[in-house]
Amino acid sequence: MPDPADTPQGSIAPLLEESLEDLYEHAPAGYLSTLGDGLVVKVNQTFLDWTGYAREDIVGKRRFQDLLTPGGQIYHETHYAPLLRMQGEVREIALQIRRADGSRLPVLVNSVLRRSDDDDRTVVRTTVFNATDRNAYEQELLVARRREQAARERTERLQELSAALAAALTEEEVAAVTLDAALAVVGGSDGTVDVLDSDGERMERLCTRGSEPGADAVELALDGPGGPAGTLRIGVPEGREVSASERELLVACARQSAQALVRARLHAETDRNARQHALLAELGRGLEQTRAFQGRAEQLVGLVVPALAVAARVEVASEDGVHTAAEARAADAGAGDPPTTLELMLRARGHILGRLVLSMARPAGRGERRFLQEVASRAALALENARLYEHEHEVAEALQRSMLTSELPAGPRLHVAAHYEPSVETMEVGGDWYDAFASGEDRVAIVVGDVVGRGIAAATAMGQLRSAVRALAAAVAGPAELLNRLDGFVETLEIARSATLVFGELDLRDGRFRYACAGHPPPVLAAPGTAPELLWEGRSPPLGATAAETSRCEAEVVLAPGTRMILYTDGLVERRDRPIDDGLGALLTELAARRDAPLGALTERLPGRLAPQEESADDVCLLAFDYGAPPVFERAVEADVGELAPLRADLRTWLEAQPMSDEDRGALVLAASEAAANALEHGCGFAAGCPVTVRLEIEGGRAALTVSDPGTWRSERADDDRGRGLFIIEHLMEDLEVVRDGGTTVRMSRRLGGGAA
Amino acid sequence: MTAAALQLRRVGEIDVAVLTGEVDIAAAPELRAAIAGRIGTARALVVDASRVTYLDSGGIRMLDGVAGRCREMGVPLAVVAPSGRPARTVLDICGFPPSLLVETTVEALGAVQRG
Repeated sequence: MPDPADTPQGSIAPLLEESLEDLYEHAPAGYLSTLGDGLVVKVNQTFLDWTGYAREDIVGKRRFQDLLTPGGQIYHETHYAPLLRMQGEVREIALQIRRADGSRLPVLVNSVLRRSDDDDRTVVRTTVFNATDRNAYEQELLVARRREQAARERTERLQELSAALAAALTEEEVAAVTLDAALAVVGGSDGTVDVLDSDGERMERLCTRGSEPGADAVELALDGPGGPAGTLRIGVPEGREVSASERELLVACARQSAQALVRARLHAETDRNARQHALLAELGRGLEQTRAFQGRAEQLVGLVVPALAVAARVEVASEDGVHTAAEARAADAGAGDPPTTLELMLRARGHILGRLVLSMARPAGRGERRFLQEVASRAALALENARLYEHEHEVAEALQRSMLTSELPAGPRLHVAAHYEPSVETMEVGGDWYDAFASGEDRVAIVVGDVVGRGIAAATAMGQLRSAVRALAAAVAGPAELLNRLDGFVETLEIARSATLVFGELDLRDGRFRYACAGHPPPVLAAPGTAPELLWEGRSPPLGATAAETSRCEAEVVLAPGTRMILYTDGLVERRDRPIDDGLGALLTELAARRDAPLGALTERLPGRLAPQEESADDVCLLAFDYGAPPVFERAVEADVGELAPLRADLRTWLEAQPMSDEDRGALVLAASEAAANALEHGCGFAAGCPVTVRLEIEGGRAALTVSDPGTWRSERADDDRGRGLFIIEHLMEDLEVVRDGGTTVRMSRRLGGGAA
Repeated sequence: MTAAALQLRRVGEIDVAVLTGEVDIAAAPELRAAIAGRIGTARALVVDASRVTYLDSGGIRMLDGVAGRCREMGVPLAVVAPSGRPARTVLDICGFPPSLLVETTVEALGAVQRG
């Protein structure tokens, strides 16, 4: 092995020439040798220098453990000494040595147990390293570790918070998540979150936990970029200090929450915009569903409640003041806080129609008010259009009504009933009309016509044509000539061109009926005892048609007393989904089925029976008449008491032709109507297809009345009306007799001229 | 035939319900509701049935109902039904309280004011 002195480091050789003694005494560590009980037997200078003890104070006098702090002594006793005995050595034990001046010296201690070869005496060699620096480092390490722990906790908390915030969709949910996280930081239970609403008008409470935090609460701003300004308030439990790092954590929570609020608000706004769009679209559709002002007002309130308000009404101003046109109220309105009211002007084309009054659960914000304004202005325009339309419609309707309601001729030999039904689909007045008037002595003219087009123009043309027919009827020789003259007339009235009509003239003395059809559907003849038939004779093209060069033609039938004739416009038999032939077939079938219906009930119900209301695209006009008084009066009423009035009308006409007093007529009408009402109710239970027949015959100065129905009466005096009805009948009639044979027949009679017996 | 109609008027503090046309079992329920609606606020009521062209058991029941309601509410009532007119004949047959029946509207107004 080479001599260390020969190495290049030779220049330090003198320093290396140390004695072992010096090496021991001045080693960079303290050395102690102790006996088995700890008594110090040898110590180096380094240790003495560090601790400030004199050698003679220690050696042979003190045990190593006596030099330790009380904690160190306990540790020595419980760990150090037993370990040393068991393992023969201990390493890196941190202890503190009490210096001579009482201060403490942190040290790291290694000890080795040496046993003598010959006997069991032991000595312990202990090395002591000065750990002052190391201790400081460890302190720092501890602090750093704590800080790291806090940071990790903080990160974890924030991560948890951001996960929870990601799942929160609404501002309320964001607020709740934030508040709970913040309360967990300080271990509190009371807190609130408030934000400025989207209109920047009011602070809104988004979330509350526990009770309102006190004045000493921690308050944090929730101001995100572009987000709502808000405040998070946390009540701190009494006696608890909020550390700087906790405060930092709270601030971080608030920052995250503010961002989430921005997102939630955007989400809510997008959502609200979509809903408002959908609502406006729905409003548009709803308002289009009807052209009527009333209907539109109802659509409006129906849509606004409950989506936008708990109650709504449309108030309309007119000359007689303000009235409510439509009103709606949510089913649960009235519960909860008293609603606030918002009034919106309904203004269109510079015209104020009225106002929309809304009751809302809470005051509307600026954004909501803007939207409601939009709703109101759209509704106002639709309402104004409806108003204008209705005004025009009213004029046309008034015009038409004035021409359709003139008195129809009546007498013992003729009973006329007519009915007009506007189109359900368009609600527009068409150019259909009917008319019946005396055209000479014992002569009655009957007309049903149809001017092409709708609205005021068609109604006006119809009026002119109607007047022309009335004027010409008395002057011409017959129906064909009348049509010829009308062709000339429509030359000057463009809109009346292509009008169709059927014109007939009835001689009341002998029942001769001359008629002509200008492009019009054929009349129906229902003679007594035969099936109804269409009159296909006397046909020529519509008025003013160029093909009408050929002269007009006419036909004649002779009506037997008791004949019924029906004239109508094409709306009665035409339907889009059905050929007109089928419509005519259906008409004949229907007339055959209700052969004995009261005249007024027939005209009123035919349109509905042939085309259900919702399907009628065209208006319908029809006129029916009964000619002559047959020897026996016979009618059948059905289903409801609404047919009683037409029944009485027919009976009165028939009775007119019979020689008797008005008192007798009145008594017979009353008795027949009461008996029929009884049968409708008790025999038929107001069912359709259960005809109640009324038959009246006069023979030998007595009127015999028979009312029968196919049902069996459940009770004769079920209620007040019927009991009273029978009472009236008994007072007016005699020989009252009830026969039950499959159905029920009630017979009674009255001696004419003398009243009841 | 004329459909039933109702006109509600006010003469001073008295409500006057003028019935016209055929007051039958079909028309009565609606008429009754319309007249009854006035009884709650009326000081006195006159039902003018002089222009009724037809009255049946349904119409009588309606008038009975109106009379009962007036009695309950303490509202004086008079029914104008001139002798010989269609309404009067039926009212008489059914024994409608004669004390409520008068010949003219003037008489009726006097009757309810004495109430």
